[in-house]
This record gives sequence, C-alpha cells and structure tokens, in this order.
Amino acid sequence: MNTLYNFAFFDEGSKKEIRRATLKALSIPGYQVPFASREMPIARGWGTGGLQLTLSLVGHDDVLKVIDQGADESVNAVSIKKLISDTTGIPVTESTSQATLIQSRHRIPEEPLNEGQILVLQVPIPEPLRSIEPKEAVTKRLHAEAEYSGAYLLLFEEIQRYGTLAGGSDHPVTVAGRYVMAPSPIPRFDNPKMHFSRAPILLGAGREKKIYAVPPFTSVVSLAFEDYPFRVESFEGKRCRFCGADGTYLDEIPASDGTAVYQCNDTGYCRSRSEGGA
Amino acid sequence: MNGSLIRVEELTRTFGPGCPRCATVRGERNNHCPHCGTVYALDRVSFDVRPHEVLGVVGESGSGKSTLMKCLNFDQNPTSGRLFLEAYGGGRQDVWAASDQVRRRLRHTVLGMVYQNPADGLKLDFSAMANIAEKLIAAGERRVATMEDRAVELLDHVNIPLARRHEPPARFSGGMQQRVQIAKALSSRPPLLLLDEVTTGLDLSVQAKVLDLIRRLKRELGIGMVLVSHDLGVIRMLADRTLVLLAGRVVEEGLTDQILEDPQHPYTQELVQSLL
Repeated sequence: MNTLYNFAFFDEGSKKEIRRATLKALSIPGYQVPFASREMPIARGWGTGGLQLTLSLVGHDDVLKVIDQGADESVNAVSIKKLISDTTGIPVTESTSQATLIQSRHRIPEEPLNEGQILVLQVPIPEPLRSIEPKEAVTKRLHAEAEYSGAYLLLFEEIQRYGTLAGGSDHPVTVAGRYVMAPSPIPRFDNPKMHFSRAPILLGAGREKKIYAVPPFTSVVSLAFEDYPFRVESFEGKRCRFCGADGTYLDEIPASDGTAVYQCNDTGYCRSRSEGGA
Repeated sequence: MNGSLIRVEELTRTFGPGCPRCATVRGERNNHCPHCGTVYALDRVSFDVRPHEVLGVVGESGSGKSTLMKCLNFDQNPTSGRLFLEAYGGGRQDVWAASDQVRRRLRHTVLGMVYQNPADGLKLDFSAMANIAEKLIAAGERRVATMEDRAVELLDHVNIPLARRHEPPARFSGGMQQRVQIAKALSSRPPLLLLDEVTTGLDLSVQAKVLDLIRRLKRELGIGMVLVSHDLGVIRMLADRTLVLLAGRVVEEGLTDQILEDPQHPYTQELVQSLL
C-alpha cells in the first residue's frame, strides 16, 4: 500500500462531495446529478467517472472486482484495480459473489447481485437525448418536463433503418416510471438485470461530470413501441465452448474457415463454472 | 370564442426595457423607441381565425411576421397578450399563461408549423418517415405501424416518391424538403396550420407545386391556416382574409380582395402599387 496518498487516493473532502452527489442520485432515481469531476491519474473517457465513485465508496472491509467488457484481465481493468488496491490495500477478486464493490464497463455480471454489493458502471455519454439535442440547457428542460419523444424518435429511426430494435448497446430505460436514463453501453441483454436489482447501481461519467443511480428494488423498463417490444440479444442454440453455458451473453469469435465459436463474455463467471467442474 | 379556432388579443413582443416615452415618440413606420432603444416587434396585434379559413399576413421584412409565427408556435414567449385556442378549455383560458407542458402538447396536437427554412422544422439527418413520425410520437402515439401508415399516406399526399421515404431530407431538393415539412405538420391532423413564408427561396415551378398543395389541403381537409408572406401573389391566391403588418402594428385588415383592390392605408397602397 502506497502511504504517500490518502486512503483511496482522494482527500476526504472530495470523497464527501462525490458521496453527497451519489446520495442525491439515489434519491432521484435516473436523474443526472452534476458533480465536480476530479483530475485523475487516468485519462477522461477511461473510466474516471466509475473510478471516482469507487474511490469515494471504498472502505477497509471491501473486496473489489473490476471488469472491462466482461473481462477481469483487460489492461484497463487491471490498471484500475492496481490503483485502488495500491492506495487502499483492500483485496481484489474475480468472483462476483465475493466482491462487495464491483466496477464495470459495458457489462453487468452474469451472476445476480445481492444486498451488500454495489455495482458501479462507467458511462461515456450520460444523456440519452444527447444525439437528438446537443444543448445541455435544452435536455435539462426536456427531462424536467418528461418530454421523451426524442428517445422514441431514435428508436423509430432504428426500426426504419434496420427493421427492428437492433441498436447494440445503451438502449434507453425509464427508471421508477419517471426519468429516461442511458444505462451506459451495456448490451440489451443486461437491461433486464437492472429491473428490481437487489444491489444499488451507480453510474458515473467523469468527462461529462454526472452521477446517476438506480436504487435497489427499483423498476427499470426499456423503451419500446407497442408493436415492437423490447427484446434482448438471442443466442439460441449456441453454447460457451469452455463452460457450456447457454443462458449467458456470448462473444462470437470467427475462425478463418468462416465458422465461428462462442464463449462467455463474462470471464469470471465462465471460469468459476469451468473450475467448479461443470 | 364565437366558433373561432384561434383568437389572439393584444399580442405585444418587445426587445428592450421600454420607457414612458415609447408610446408617444414612435412613428408609424418605426418599430423602435429612439430614447430607450426598445424594439416593438409586435405591438398590440389582435386577430382570429375561423375553421376552414385562411388568414394572410403581409408586411415587409422586419414588420414582425416571423415573430408573430414564433409566438403562435410557442417558439418564443410574447411580452404580453392572450392566446385562446378552441381546442384548449373551449377557448376560455389563455394558452400563453399555461405551463410549458401544456403548450408543448398543444403544439403537437392542435398546431402544425411550416417554417421558411426546412432546417428549422425538420431533422435533416433523420429519414423522412422519422420526421413525420416525430410529431406523432410527441402527440403520444406509440404504435410503429400506425405511424408508418400515416407517414406513407402523407408522403404520397405531398408527392414525395415513396421509394425515397427512408432517405434523410438532407438529400432532398428544397421544394421536396418543404413538402416533407408540410407532411410533418399535417401528421397529427391539427385543425390549424401555420405557414411562414413557405414558398420564399423556391424557384417558380417549385413554388407553384407547393402552392397547389396548400390549395388542395385547404379544399380537401378544410384546415384553418395562418399564412405569412411578403408575396402578394401568394396572399391573393390563398388567403380569405388579410392583415397588413407595418412596424409591428396591424395597419389594415379585411377581405383579401378588398385589400388588394381597394387599399385604404397609404402603406397598403404602396404595397399593392409595387406588385409587379
């Protein structure tokens, strides 16, 4: 542990400010709370929002898991883990069930989360209406008036272009029946995991200086049309080549002969199944 | 309301602080006060539009025509004045005093606006279909099939080739963009259409097509319209009644034929004289 730094890198005032924003975010589910995003030793856009949330929350008894697109070993996940464990001395794990604090980019772990755990998601663009309205002053007013036709328009355009609600990730959701929220670029597959999640989900955007949250046991409904219901990605008839799982989000790995093999995107989950003798 | 679709009372829109001398020193052809510099874009303008009626508004550049339209479409807030819509509380409540949500809903259900510049009324990078659907979505529609059917029907109605319905209007000609805008304005079947200089900037044959379309809408759908133009030819062709705006004030109003054949106010006389 590097004692040249305060516990968890930040000074206590900074942690307090971020926690205060987090509490406000939990009180108004889905509402984007502005906060004073700090300069971090990693570049903005590399998970500084999530990292600041994690650092403001971490305590001596926590066990940390960091994943990047489902992988525990990717460079970004490893760097973030190192920074946090170097400045706090807390243990890290790859097991979802053992972690108390999980920071993730673009995935929610396969293993259901429970009370006592907190999921922190890194967010590049927190504003679900940004692509339709560039001005922050206007989008704030649209949220205030619950005027979300822009979000539906984006989905309608998707249907016009591709014939289906095929957008890859970051499919907008309504939280607690009020605010429309960008769930961060998680696949549609993960959207239903937010619905009545037992663990609170905190979302942090460092570059955009916003924190928002889904409190535990809160309704999260993906936007859709009456005749084009929301559907998750389908992996019907496909299994993970390592652990044999068939209900998980799979990565497709094309081979040179034109065929493809599939494997779990969540590496920690896959490994625990393989080692567990599945 | 006496059966009017829309009634505007004493609409005033100023830019500046205003001063006690504004009222006395401002000349008829001057819309700003030389003492405090306040601009009177609109000064106590009142009118109403009945069902099936087309009200023309003429005036030179800077006479307040566009400001009037922006206030009617809630793009701008008036400084003072009252607006009554038949569709809102039977026309007994002032719409300008209502909340933003109420006005937004009315804009999407009761009004259809066609801007002079298609970029103001359309999302040029979204498909023509999505542009038309936008107003329907805003009006609360959540079935894709319904919106697609309505959009196809309208695009056909305004003579946009259906093969191009998935293309963004950015790839369309100016006249086509204008017609997509009209289709969008009509999508939620509003009883009142606001047309702001819709033919300005289009070449003559395209102008003729757009005017034909508006005339057909008037005949077939019987929608009430407020038609702003500086082109007396357009006014003569489409408007039943006409207001003449000068420096933010109504200087003359009456039946279009009457105003064009027998103008009373010196400014209107000048305007009619200058008609080529």
